[in-house]
Amino acid sequence: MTITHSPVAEAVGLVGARKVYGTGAQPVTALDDLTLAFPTGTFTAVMGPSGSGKSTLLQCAAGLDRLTAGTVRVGGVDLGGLSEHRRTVLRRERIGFVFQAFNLVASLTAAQNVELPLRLAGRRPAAAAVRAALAEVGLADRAAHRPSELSGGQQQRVAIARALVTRPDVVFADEPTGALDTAASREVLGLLRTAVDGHGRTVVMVTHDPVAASYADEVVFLRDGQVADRLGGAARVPGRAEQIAGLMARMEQR
Amino acid sequence: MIALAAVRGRAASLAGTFAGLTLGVALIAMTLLVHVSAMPRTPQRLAAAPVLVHGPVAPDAAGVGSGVRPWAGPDAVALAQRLAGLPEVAAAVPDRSFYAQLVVDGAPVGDPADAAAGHGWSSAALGAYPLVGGVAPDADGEVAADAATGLAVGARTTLLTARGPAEVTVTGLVGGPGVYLSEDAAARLSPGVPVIGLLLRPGADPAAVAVAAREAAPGAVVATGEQRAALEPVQQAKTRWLGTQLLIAMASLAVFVTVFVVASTFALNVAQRRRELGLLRTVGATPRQIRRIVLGEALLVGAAGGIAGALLGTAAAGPAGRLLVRWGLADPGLEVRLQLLPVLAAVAVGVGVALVGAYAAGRRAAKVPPMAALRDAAVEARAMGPGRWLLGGGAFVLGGFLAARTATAAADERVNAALFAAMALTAAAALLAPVLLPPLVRLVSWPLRAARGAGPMLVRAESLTAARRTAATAAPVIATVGFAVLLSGMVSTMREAYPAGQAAKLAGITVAVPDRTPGLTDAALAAGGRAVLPSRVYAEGLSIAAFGTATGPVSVAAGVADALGVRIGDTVTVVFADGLTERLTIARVTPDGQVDDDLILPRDLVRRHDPSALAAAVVGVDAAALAGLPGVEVLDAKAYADRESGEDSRLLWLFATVLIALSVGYTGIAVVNTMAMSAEGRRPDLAVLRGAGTTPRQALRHAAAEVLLVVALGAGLGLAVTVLPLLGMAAGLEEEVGVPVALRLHWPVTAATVLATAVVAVVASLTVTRRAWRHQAR
Repeated sequence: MTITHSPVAEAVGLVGARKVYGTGAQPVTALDDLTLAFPTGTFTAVMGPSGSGKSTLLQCAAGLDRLTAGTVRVGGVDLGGLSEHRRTVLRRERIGFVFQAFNLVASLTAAQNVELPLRLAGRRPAAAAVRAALAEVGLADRAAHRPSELSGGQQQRVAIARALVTRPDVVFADEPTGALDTAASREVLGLLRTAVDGHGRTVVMVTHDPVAASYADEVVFLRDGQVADRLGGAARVPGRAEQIAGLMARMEQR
Repeated sequence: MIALAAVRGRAASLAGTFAGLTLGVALIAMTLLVHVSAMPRTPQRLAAAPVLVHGPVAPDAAGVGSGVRPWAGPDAVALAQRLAGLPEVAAAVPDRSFYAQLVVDGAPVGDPADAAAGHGWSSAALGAYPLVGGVAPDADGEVAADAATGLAVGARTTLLTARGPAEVTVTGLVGGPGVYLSEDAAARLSPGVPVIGLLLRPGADPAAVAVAAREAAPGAVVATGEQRAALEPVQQAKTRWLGTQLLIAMASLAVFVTVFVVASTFALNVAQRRRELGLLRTVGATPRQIRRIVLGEALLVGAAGGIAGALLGTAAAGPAGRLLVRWGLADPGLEVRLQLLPVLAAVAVGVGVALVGAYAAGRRAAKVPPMAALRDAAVEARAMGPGRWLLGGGAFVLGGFLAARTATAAADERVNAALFAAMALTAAAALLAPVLLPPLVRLVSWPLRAARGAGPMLVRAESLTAARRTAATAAPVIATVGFAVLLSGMVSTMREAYPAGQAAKLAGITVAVPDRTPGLTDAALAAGGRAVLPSRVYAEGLSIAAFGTATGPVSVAAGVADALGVRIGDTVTVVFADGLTERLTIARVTPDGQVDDDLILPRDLVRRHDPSALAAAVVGVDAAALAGLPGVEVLDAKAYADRESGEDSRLLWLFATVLIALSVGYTGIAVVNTMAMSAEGRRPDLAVLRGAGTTPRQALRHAAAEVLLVVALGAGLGLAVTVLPLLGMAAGLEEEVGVPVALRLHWPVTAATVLATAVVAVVASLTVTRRAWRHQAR
């Protein structure tokens, strides 16, 4: 299949997105007429109290789940009209994922995990490319190790290498540092930042950690399925994490 | 790559599939090798004749074996003369076979089942059996004996033929089996000739001679090489047929059970891997790719199990063949030859079975949504899927319906209805185990509720919450115990009921039976009593078993009548064993399902056309009149009934025990498999128990108690669902045979089955728990 590329300023865009879970007596509205764009080459953090719809936002934007109403575009392609097969292929080619844990197939080595999207696309991965991807995340010497032989931080770095190996339009990260200690978290966030700054990738990260969010160019606060607040400005400036924490606290009080 | 890595990574959880497939393929390879090796072979005594000319081969009307339509003696002699004139033919020998057995030291010698050991002297050349002493028999009262009998040239001895005992002189000794008479004597005992053997000049081409023979003998079959195997003795065909039934039963059981083992393993496998499958979907695997991964795993495990099974089956084929010979289910000459094709076929079946078994799991895996990567894997997959409800419910309804029929059906149908009811109910209990077991566990463990220790509480709670694991362990136990109880109970009940009924019918009557001979001669028949003379006739291209009784009108079984296309009052032309034809008018058609009634003829008619027919028994004889007659034994009704059903019940019992043993083996695999696969899920529980101060000994004890509880419940269920239908069967049998029939459960087999299952389950559970516990300790 071919997906025609149109030059767009936004890597991912949602327009009038609604997601309602369950039918009948008590339907739950997770996304409520949400319109949001993630510009190409930016790092956005999505925050909000639990139940605010941040996970739903990520799942729908990534084509893992379907919207009840509204549209999602990834790299200019409307996901709504795509079959399951085409959405899968689009995911494979244009979207990278990093989850909180269980990112890797336990029976495959680090290198094989990185190769996975390429192999699933029926391409023979160039050994050099895989090695480069692992070197990028500082794990060139761990290529033949299985996940059980890697630390949690190393596993997340392999996941990032895999997410980036297809040169995707966007990388979605769902609490990528949720299970890591401070040092490992810093490494992982640094790698995501480098992907944006050094390679022009787009990263959308769901987190509840103000420190993690402080690595982003923009922080989007969600509440009740809507954008409650946004914070732009420079990433990683001193005091930014505290600023974000303050905004969060205020939002939860309201 | 993914399938290979997955297989490597989950070797333990696929071990059950591998073991099941290995056993399945081994059984299939073994049965195929034995079966192929047991194919008909040219009888040794005709092997020296490169070309055999015989009458058309007629399939049996009842479907077992076939017969060669004989020529009348004069026609055969004329044909042989024509064939002898063909170029390159040294001699054309009309070959006659009939009953002849020598008596040495008062006892008949030779194969007691061989009713065709007698031949004319010229037949010895067809097997290249040399005259090793004396001269060939040339007149009545002269005989050439097998040198192996130990008789000397010139010895006087008794010869048994269908006419009775006669004094003969051994004039010659032969270097091969058989009893050889003069041509004239042979022609009187077997007027018909089924085969003419052609002996060729040195260097002659059998194929060329066969072409010429076909022209000279239109309507005859001209066989060379392997084709000559069609002339194997009927007895051998019967033996092989019996052996084949056992092989088929074993192979079918292997295929069906293996499919189930593979299907359940893969289903559980996919349920446990939801998260990983979701991850694969997320990073871009299409549903089809997921299905291919699962099927790829099945292919790999199938190939590995296939190769292991092929080796195992090849190694086992030789001993299995010898066992079949020992059980009387194969020709003693059976040599299992190793061949590639049957083994490859078995491997192919194994791979196919693996793919079929994994198919449903593959479809389910393909439906796992990418979202599954984000959620915790479902801890306990639903124990009862819609398919299981449907199958289990269906089996239950069918079983109930058949059980109800057992109470109302006619006597002979009642037995079958009961058997099928028991099978259906066993399947239903196994399938519905996840629903049936929790209330049972609650009930059985209720008294333990108030017990002081933590053990009973834990055992009870564990088996209740892990319904799927409990059911997966119990289901094979239910099926196996049900199967064992049903089969062993059925056979033990039947083998008492039938002889009892027979003995009751013959109460007070004495019966003459053969003693070390294949049948009774006219000498035994002359003393009075009822006897049936079995023979074989040929009509409409079919071979039909004929039975000569006192005088009765010509009567034919319904199935045979249909095959012949005749009805009451119709006339049918039949060829007898002597090659002569008679026109018979059908006076009666009897319903199917009776014994020895394919075609009933007047006894005199049969004797006239088949001078070598032997009676199987004479009912109501005067024991004194038969005293001293060689080859005859007189029994009372009870002994006769036992003797008569002895062979049948021996075979039934053999089949039953082989199948029960196989199913116990598979249950072991299934239980070990379940344990190994659930081990991972139990680790967190064990960690908690350890933290709460459980000692390793306590943990092992709990695991053993839990699995024993499940096995006990499974065994109880298996017993419960089979006993009622078996009682129905006993009632049906009682009506059928006319004597009181008590249900006999075979307790040794039942107990051994339960015990074997329990031991396997406990050992598996302890091994898995110990490993998991050590894993925790690290």
